[in-house]
Formats: sequence, structure tokens, C-alpha cells
Amino acid sequence: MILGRALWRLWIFLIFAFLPAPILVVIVSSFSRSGYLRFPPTEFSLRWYGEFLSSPIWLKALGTSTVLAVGVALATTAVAFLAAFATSRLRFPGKGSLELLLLSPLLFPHAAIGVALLGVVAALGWIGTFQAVALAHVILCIPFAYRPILNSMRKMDLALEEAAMSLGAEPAYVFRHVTLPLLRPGLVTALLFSFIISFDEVTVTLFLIGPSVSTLPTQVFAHILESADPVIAAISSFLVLVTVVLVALLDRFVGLELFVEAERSR
Amino acid sequence: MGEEKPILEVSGVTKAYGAALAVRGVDLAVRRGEFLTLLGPSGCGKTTLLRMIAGFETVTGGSIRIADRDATRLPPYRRNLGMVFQNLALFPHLTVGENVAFGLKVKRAPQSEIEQGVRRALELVELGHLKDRAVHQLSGGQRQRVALARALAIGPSLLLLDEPLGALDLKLRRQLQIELKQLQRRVGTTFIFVTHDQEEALGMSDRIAVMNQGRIEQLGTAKEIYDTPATAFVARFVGDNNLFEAQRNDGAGRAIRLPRLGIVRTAPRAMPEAQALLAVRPENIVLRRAPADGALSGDIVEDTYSGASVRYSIAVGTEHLVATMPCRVGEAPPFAKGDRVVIDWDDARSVLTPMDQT
Repeated sequence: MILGRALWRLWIFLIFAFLPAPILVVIVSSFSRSGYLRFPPTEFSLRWYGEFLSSPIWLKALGTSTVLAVGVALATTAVAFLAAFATSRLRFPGKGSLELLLLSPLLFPHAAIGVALLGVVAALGWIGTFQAVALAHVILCIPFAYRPILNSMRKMDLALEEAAMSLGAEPAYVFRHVTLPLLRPGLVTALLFSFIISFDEVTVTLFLIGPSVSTLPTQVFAHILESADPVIAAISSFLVLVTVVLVALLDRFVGLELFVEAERSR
Repeated sequence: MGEEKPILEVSGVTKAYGAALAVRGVDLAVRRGEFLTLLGPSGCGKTTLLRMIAGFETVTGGSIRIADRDATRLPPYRRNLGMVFQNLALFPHLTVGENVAFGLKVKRAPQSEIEQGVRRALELVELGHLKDRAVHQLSGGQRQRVALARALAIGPSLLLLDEPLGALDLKLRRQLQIELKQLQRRVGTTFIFVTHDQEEALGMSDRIAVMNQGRIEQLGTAKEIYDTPATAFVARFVGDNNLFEAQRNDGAGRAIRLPRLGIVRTAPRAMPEAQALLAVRPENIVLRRAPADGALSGDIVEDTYSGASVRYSIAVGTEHLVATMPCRVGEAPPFAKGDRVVIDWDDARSVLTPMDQT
């Protein structure tokens, strides 16, 4: 009995240990001194972090990724907000189809989306441009922004807006002082998740980048095809750090439940 | 001098949802400083009517005048009404004080005026000490009072209350009913209160409008509504009643026959219709021990003791009657289940109402 319990605990522990294990390997290897990836490293140094932060190619890619992720987060949240507002407040024909459409990027393989977008981008004459990648990222991020905003809208009591109106507030004032503050958790979640997804996206981006535009993850991918030096591990660790910090902030200030919570009917 | 203009005049107001009529031609004049209750079962149109007065629902037909100004098409934020919502709708992201200040801030009142207004409104409901609390830290009764203070702080010409006590337990509810009535007397604001609880309506209101199927069936004081229900619906809905089919039994319409009971009684008023309903309150039924020759008699099939009174369910042939009798401490109830009793009532305490419309 006791033994069974102990084994069970060990099993659970192993599962949770297994999940982040590969990432730990990458982080540990990133502090290596040698010129190729190996685990565990024989000597430790910050050499590859220096390499990352002094190379114009890496810094340019980092800059592109950051600007891209910020822009994508803002654009996606704006679009998702309007979409969630429409689907939660209005009645119109084709509402169900619209919701399905908004969530559809979750359903298709990224490779298929990449090929499809390549066609669209070619038709627009945007091949290898920044805006092509941005457009793709907005499409990919929409489901992740739409759900938390929709959830916070469904949670919101519409009588609160009526109460504000009965106190003399015009619609614009109500929106600014009642609706927006109450939707803030959903909006913050949408912004951060869009940022993280855009910042880490590889598959679809690979189809759309060109010689003049490269994001940090695609640059890593290109680099790894030619060499296997630990700068990759350093950059990967940096990406992990950014993601962890953002998710931790999100959890601390708004909580993650808006993102994972099942749809609630009212 | 002349009669003072009503603070609210509802004329021929109708609300249609597609083909369904939620409110059918309601006329209502509410006096300044009055506590008026809209009473009716769920779906009777009382909340729809209130929301049309507030401006949250459009009016299909008719007009609404508030403080002698046509408000039929005014948006809610231009009507200067206070409203207390069923779920109270306190702003969860604001403190108690900020909730109460909301309406004053909207009006861009100077800071000193806002502070003074908030203090006065909170003192009115005796919550001055909770100004900086978060809304979720308050008890049910305290939230109730914050909602009242917030609505009253803007100095509304009318205060609309949409079943605000519905979610509370009975004891707190009774206490808040008294507080609400006292508050209304103190501030003198006209209250329009919506409820489906007839006890609440009888206890608090200056006048009650009993609503059914989108219409006002009767408008009057609690006593008028209870003692002389104008329709069969009111007789049934407000308090308990025994209702008997009555037929005119002579030319003058003073003698009426109650065919289901097989007896003839004197009508409380001359009865012009051939048929009507006779309503007798359970507390007006008098029970005596059988036998008494020729009198109406029945068997007690159920007795329900409830402290101050005991309620008897009596079978007369296939008919059922209800009678209540007061109970005193230390005395056994006068009758018990299985007793055979003679049933009587004072004709002057019975009421004739028109038959139900079908």
C-alpha cells in the first residue's frame, strides 16, 4: 500500500521532470565554453551570450522579432476585441461560422497555412517583406487573443453598463470607465499571448521570410543547418527566459484562468 | 393651487417583441413623493415597464413623461433617474465611495461637491465608515445600501427598483423592507418598486399596481387591493382567497346562488351580471362544530399549524375551502383533522369580482 503510493508519486514526479528536461539541457549547454554543443559541458562560460549580443546579424533578428511581436500583439488584440464584441453582443446571421473562422488557425497544420499564405502574399506582391510575416502572425494569434477577450466579455454583467447609463454616463464614458476596465484582464492576456506566439513562431514564418527579413527563431533555424555551435543554445535560453517572464507576469497580474477556462453560457 | 402634476405619466404604453405583447396599453400616473409598487407574477410585464421608464427598452406605442417632460425617446443617460438593479450592478473595480461618486463624476461636479455628495449619500444609508472598502468585501445588506446610495447621490427625480431584495434571505429581506420604506420617507424621492412578492408590496407601498399579462389589473392602496380586489386575478394573486362561482338568483341581484356549494347567500353589493365570482378570505370564514341543520358543512382534511394561526383545508363535496383561525399560546387549536364543521361567513366581508376573461 505505502509502496504503491510511493511509486505513484515517483511516477508523477518523473512526468513533471520530463516535461522541462530538454529545455534544461539547452540552458545548461548554453553556458558551455567549447565550440560545439555538448551536454553536459566540460567548462562553463558566458562566451556564447557574448557572441549573441555582439553579432549584428543576431541583433538585427532580435530587433525585427521584437518590433514584429509588439505590432502583432497590438493589431491582433484590436481585431480580436472587435470580433469578440460582435460575437458576444450582437445577433447576426453567420455568427457561428464567424466564430469557427476565427478559431480555424488552430485547426490547420502550420505548414499548410504557410503554403497558403505564400500564395496570398505573392498575389499581394509582399514576398519576403515584414508586413507579410506580420499578417501571418496576426492570423495565427487571433484564436489565442479572441478566447480570453470573449471570456472576459461573457463574464461581464451587462447591467453594469446600464447602471452607468442610469447615472448619466453617455456610451463613450461608459465604455472608457466601465467596459474597458472590466475587460482589462482579457485584453492583457490577449496582448501577452500574441506577443509570445509571434516572438516564437517558426514554421509559418519560414515560408514567408526573404533575404532582407529574418526573425530570431528563423535565424536560429537557418544557423543550425550550417553549424552546431552553442550560440543557438544561448539564444534559445534567451527566448525561454522572455516567455517565462511574460507568462509569470500574466499569472501574477491577471491570472491564467481566462485563457484556459471553458466557455460559460449565460 | 390645483392638483400637482404627476412626476411620472405613462400613457397607453405598449411593448411588442415581434408578435408577442409584453406590455399592453398601460396608463399610470405616479404622484411626487409616492412609493408605488408594480406587483405581478414573472412574465407579467412589470420589469419591461420599469425598463421602458428607465429608457433601457424602446417603447412600441404610447408615451412617457417624467417631471413634466416628454421622455419617450430620451436615452437613459438623459432621464435623471436612479435605478437599483436586481443584482445591484455595483462596479466591481471601484470602491464603495467611488461607486457612489460615479454619477457625480459623470456630471463633472467639482471635487468638493463630489466628496460632500458621497458623504451625504453614504450617511443616508449609514455606511459612512465603509467608504474605502472594496465592493466584494461587503455583506448582502451592505451592498444593497451602497446601490441605493449610488442611485440617490445624483438626486434623481424618480428611483426605480427592480426586485432588489430578491436574492436575500427572508429575515434580512424583512429588515431591509422596513429600512427602505423609512429611507423613502426621509428623502421624499418618488420610488417605483417592482416585485412579485405580494407581502413585500402590501407592507411597503403607498399604492400598488397589480399587473397581469401586460396590463394593470388594479391600482390602489394595499388595503383597497386586499379588501376589494377588482378582478379574479387580483383576488387570487394577492393573499389567499376562496373563490366561488356565483349566479344571480333574483331580479335585484342581491341574492346569489353558489352552485358548486349548493347554497344561496346575500351578495355584498347588487350584482348586475348574470355570473360573477365571489371571493371570501380564509380569515373571514367562520367555523362551528357540526351539526347545524341546513347550513353548509364540510370535513377538515388537513390542518397546518403555523404559530400565530392554524390553517384548515375543508372538503365540501368535491369543492375545497381554506379557513384560517388565530391560535393563542397555551390553547389547543379549535379543530383538528377529521372534524366535521359548519362553514359560514359574514356576507359584508365577501367580494364580488367579474369572471375571468378567457
